[in-house]
Amino acid sequence: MRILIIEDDSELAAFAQRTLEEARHNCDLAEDGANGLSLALDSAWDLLIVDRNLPKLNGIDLVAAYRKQNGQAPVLFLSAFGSVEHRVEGLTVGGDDYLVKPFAPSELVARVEALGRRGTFNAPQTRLRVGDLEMDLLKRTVTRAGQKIDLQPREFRLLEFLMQNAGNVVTRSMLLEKVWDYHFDPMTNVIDVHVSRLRAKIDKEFGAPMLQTVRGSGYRLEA
Amino acid sequence: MAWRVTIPAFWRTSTFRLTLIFAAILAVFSSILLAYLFNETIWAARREAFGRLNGEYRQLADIHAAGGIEAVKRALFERSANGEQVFYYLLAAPDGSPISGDFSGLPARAPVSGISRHAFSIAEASAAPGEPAARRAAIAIIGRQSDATSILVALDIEATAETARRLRRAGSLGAATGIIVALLGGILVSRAAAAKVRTLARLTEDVIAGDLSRRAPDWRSGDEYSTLASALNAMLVRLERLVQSARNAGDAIAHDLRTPLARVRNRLEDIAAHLETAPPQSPEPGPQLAAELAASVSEAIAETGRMLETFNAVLRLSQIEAGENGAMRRVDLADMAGTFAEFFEPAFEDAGLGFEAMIGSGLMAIADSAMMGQALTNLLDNATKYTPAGGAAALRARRRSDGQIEVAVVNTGPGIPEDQRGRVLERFTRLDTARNSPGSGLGLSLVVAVAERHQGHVELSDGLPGPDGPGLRVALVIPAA
Repeated sequence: MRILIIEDDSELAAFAQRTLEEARHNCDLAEDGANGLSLALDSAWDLLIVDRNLPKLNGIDLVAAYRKQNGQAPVLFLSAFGSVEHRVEGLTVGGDDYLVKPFAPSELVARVEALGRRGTFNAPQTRLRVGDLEMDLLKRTVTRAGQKIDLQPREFRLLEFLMQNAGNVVTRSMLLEKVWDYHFDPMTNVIDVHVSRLRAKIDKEFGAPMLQTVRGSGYRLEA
Repeated sequence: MAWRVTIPAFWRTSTFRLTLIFAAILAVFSSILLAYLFNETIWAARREAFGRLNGEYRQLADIHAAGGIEAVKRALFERSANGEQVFYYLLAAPDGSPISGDFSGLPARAPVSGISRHAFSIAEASAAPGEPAARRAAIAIIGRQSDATSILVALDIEATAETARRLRRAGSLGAATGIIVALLGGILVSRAAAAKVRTLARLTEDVIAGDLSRRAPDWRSGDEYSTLASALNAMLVRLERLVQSARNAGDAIAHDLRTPLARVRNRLEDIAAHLETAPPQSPEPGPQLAAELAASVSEAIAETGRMLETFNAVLRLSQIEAGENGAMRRVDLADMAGTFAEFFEPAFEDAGLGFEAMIGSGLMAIADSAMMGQALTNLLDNATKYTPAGGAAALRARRRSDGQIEVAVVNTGPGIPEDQRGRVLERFTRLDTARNSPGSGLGLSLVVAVAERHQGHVELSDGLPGPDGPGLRVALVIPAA
């Protein structure tokens, strides 16, 4: 992906750039809001990473201006403020996701890649398939190798999100936000319990485990 | 500390300055009073005396005008022969020498023409020989007549003069006493005030030097100083608690983070040592070593993750306590409690604990859902961690009879002895039984902070009784919307 990082903290920007380039993305940097906006509008990016607090033009105004000029790239906000209002404000001006500093590199990569794939989900899908695991979103059924698997509603949504992001790491906080709608870090490992229950249902009776724990980052569903 | 209290000398205190001002006002006022008294008594008596003198002089002047010197001499003789002589007289020749009367000559200041008034003194007639005669105050009118002779009429006003002297003496003595008493009183009062101020100033000095346990004395005088002292004491109590809690928090953070930091350091040193001793001829470490190193690195990463969590918890707690980031909305706590019960149920099940949720309906409150969610998470998380195996826990949400909304987590287990309940709500407190379990010791203090931000409170009591003890109930109580 071609990613533009607009961040005035050069150390953090370099860290993000290094992290994303290791994950095979191309990154450009802008150090202030005004410069960032003109670079953002100059060419087609796959993703913008925008700090909320920027010199010359703050991140919120930058993204508002970018969207007004028909900028299409998804936007990931970075900020030291983790409160709900900041999140909501970022999302209402046209941001797509929000990451609170300090963040783990794996969290950044996972969020960036989830945003990068977002474009392909625009058409509502009715069926998801990962390997021999299939999900019918209309009938609310899941089968693996043709065998029906019974899931609780919350387990269904968890699996749906994992399948949409199949092959990529999803972090615990992504799951909390997207599956449980908890926009704060509850600082608990309860989510692991839910994942291991789901794993017991979809993997246990089948030879190849699909739902893997990625140490220090989160989970990955892979055929 | 460079700052030292300097106590002003008593004459520089505001009390003493006020005393001075009042003493001055007293002096001015008593002078005015004295002047008024004088006017009403002494000067009135004098005016009256001059009036009488004037009448007498007019008579004699008329006699002189009608009958000349001889007629005057006769009149004077008659008056002296009359026995009770009120006035003293002198009829003087143009050169001032006496023609007739009681005096040996005109005073030097006698007028060349017209009438003049004089105050002077006359010698006591009854003075013993050899002794200087006592002098008596007198006033006189001297008038030059048409034939250049002078008529002098004098009146003894010693009685009035004596009264004046006494009045003056009494007045000045009274004023002096008053002023001295006022000054002495002022000194005493301002010293007492300065002493209280000094006590308070010394107190602040000690506090600045770091002794927060000092308190101002209770003067029980009900005046402004005891008001100030009790306000100061209330402030010091609060300050001491804050400082104590900050100190405890600092100690606890240092203590809680030292161990994981040391572990991270050990791992990194381990890795460095491995990398240094790896045989130079094989640039690639063996798969065994690589796996070990990778495990060490990810352990170190996990350790720093836990440290970050502790920091985040501290930060979140102080944000909540400082009242930041509040997004108060109408929230149905029944809904929230329901989703959290669902979220935590598998965790209880995995821990081998029974769990049930008893949630009323329509529990509307004005709340910050993220904060309430954090508080609920902490309560339920604690229950999964601290309920003994085989026990049970429950989440109960209801509207109380007093209209407040209560969200409580109850469990079986040893509970918390009543005398330790206050302590566990403080920051970083971890009872000895929990020393070795994971956690920052901030969980309950965060719940307390959330409750306080919602004008509510936290209650601790016995929970579900069982073989392990009375159990524990932690209830978050906030007002309903």
